[in-house]
Amino acid sequence: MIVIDETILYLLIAFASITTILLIRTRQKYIRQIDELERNLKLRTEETTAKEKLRTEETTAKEKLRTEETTAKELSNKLDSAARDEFSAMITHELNTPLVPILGYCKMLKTEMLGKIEPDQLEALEMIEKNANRLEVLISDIMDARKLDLNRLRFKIEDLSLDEFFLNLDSDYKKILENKKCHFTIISHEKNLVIKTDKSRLRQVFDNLIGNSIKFVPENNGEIEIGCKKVNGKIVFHVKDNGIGISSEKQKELFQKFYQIDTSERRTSDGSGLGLAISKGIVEKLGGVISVESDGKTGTTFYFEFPIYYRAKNYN
Amino acid sequence: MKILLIDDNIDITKMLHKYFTLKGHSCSIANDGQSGLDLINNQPFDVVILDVAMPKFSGNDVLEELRKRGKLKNLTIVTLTASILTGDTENTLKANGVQLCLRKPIDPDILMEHLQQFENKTMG
Repeated sequence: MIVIDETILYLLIAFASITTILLIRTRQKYIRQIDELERNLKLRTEETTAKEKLRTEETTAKEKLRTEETTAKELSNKLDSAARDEFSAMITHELNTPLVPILGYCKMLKTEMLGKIEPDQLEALEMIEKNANRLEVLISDIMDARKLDLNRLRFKIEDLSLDEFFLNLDSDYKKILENKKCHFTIISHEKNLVIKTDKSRLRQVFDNLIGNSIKFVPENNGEIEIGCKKVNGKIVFHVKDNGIGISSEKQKELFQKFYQIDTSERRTSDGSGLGLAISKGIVEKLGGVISVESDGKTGTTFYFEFPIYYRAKNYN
Repeated sequence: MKILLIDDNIDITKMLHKYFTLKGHSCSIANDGQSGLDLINNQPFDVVILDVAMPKFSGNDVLEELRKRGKLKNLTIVTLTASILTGDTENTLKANGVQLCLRKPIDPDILMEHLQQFENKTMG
């Protein structure tokens, strides 16, 4: 049996106790530190989550705002267009209305329904009527040009028999050119051809080009020729005259709005200056191309061609 | 022909009245839709020339009333409009009893030709 001194035993116990206490304390300290670290981590994680949540909410809110803005803008544009349409309709209405009594009374006076008319008076009435007609054309042209600009010109695409179309053109212009010494021919190489187009707009282009030709052909022996031909899956129309021609400089600006050959070269001062711009707009919206050829001396030819089957881009 | 003009523009109705009278027809004037309807109730007419855009009682309102009262059968109705009618509007008008839609400014001689054609159709 080993006899251990009591003191050593007490010292050992004390030592063990102190060590245990120290160990316990250190453990507690570590536990506290770990707790704190854990707390900090939790806090930081919560912070990050909160930040992300905020960011996501911000993004969602921004997107929502943008969508609402776009919707509001679209609605505003629609209202604007509707307002513009209404405004256009109102303007057209207001401008056309006074022309009714003006042209009506001119007609009645001219045809002597209101009493005998002297030649001087007749001449005056013709000038009033001509200018009132010019106003009518101007109003219509301005509306068309504006609609083309705003992409709001509507097209009605239907099957059109070119034979019938040219027959009408022929009879109408033979009547118009009755008293002028102007020869009018239609050369159609394509019989029985039916194309898809807007008949009245196509006619508008022809009327514009033929109208211009009438202004510039010589007083005697004027010649205007219209034709159509199928070339490579396209239908090519032309309007040709033996007028004074258009120089290459002027050709460059020809299709611009309000471009008019200067008055010294024209016999009459009618026309809105918008006709060619509108014609170009119509041809292009119908999927075609318009061009002009002239040597500046002996005449002018306008060509406009379309693919044979076409659906206009903005047709309502 | 017995013609009724319904248009809120006094200058237009005066001018057309003069024209039709000089051409030998009988012509009455109403400068608003309601007066036009009253006249139709009291007298027989062959033709009604109707302005589409009138304030208060519009051309369409007149047509609606005429349809309700069964008056459309014996009337030739021609509309005049100074704005540009869309194809839809014209179709709607024609579906509501309008025979012809014309644009202002209208040449009275051309209007007369149309009316003459309608008269020939009715008589022949």
